[in-house]
Amino acid sequence: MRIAVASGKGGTGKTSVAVNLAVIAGRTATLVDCDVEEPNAHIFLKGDVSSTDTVSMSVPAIEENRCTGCRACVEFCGFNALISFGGPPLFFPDLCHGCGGCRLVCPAGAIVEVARPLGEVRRIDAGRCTLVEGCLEVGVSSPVPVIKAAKAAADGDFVIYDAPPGTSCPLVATLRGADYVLLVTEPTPFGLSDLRLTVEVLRQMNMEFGVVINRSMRSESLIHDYCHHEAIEVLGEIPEDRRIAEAYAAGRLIVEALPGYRPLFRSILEACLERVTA
Amino acid sequence: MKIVFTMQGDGRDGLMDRRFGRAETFLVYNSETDERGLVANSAVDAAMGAGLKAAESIVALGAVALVTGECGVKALHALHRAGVKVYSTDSTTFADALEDLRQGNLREARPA
Repeated sequence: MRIAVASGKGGTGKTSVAVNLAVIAGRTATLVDCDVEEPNAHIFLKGDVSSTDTVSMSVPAIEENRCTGCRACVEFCGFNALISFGGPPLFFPDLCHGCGGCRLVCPAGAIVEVARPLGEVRRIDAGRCTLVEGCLEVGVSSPVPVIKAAKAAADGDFVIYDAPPGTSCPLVATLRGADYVLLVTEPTPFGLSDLRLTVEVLRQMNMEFGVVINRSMRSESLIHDYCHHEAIEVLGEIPEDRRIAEAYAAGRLIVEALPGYRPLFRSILEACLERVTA
Repeated sequence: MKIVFTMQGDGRDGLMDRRFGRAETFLVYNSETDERGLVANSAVDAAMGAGLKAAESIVALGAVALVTGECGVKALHALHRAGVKVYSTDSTTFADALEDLRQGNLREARPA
């Protein structure tokens, strides 16, 4: 079973919800930190790194003495990663998606493939659960290959994906294959605006999802009104509580620093499980 | 010598576009004959790498220099390799930018 924790807006509490759910789920759970541009679940799930794998992508290298300057590769590339001023092409790795088409269309056999490192996937034994963390190399612009590699490295029966913020390719890459999506939001106009965008993505992907309201305040009905109108289920509300902020700032799990919140996280987890098996 | 300026819309209003790869039109100015021609930028809707595609286009047009607002690092690198000089301008009109270029008031952008 695979559950993704997403939000659209950054800083709503995705990682807080994901790490606490993983610990409630127990030792057999695996949390995958798919926010590979700035993974931070390891702050809460400390442990030893048991393995590290490099993620790389095959990119072209041009053998200039064989290149005839025919432009076949330049015209093939849909991402403009290869351009030519008449002679051998110039290659811009940042734009390359690693499809390998340029090598196939080159009539002179002047293109070979070389590995470009994109990042790492680390497996961490956090004791209470397993953490798989993707980490993008500085200067690499697309996190998608590292997200895919991190997800592929999670082999447990119960896996939680901690999604990156935003609603573009990195989110879509994280959500693919998930059985259920928990959307963490906050009762602010920014939180609602990005929740709406994320719901649009999930509906296009035909995914099952529910909402968790973080920093919830009784006086505020912004998210409830939206969810009611859109027929979206609210699976739980984490109240605005200074003690939670203090635990977070100290790098502690809510369910350990404040055991009174264990039933809340357990009920959110159980609600997810019920929705998947229903 | 052909010098390319980046223009808004179809270029007829003489208004510069600060962007290079996403400018709709290139104004090709011939400094020997004072002729001006307008060419649509085919890279304007490219999903990625518009600046590189545009660099390829202006080299094919025979440009030796480019006058624009901002040129991204990849396009700047490519144009440098092709021997095209890149000048940055804050002018909003072609007439002002051309005058600044003639007076030697424009700074040349170089790859870092």
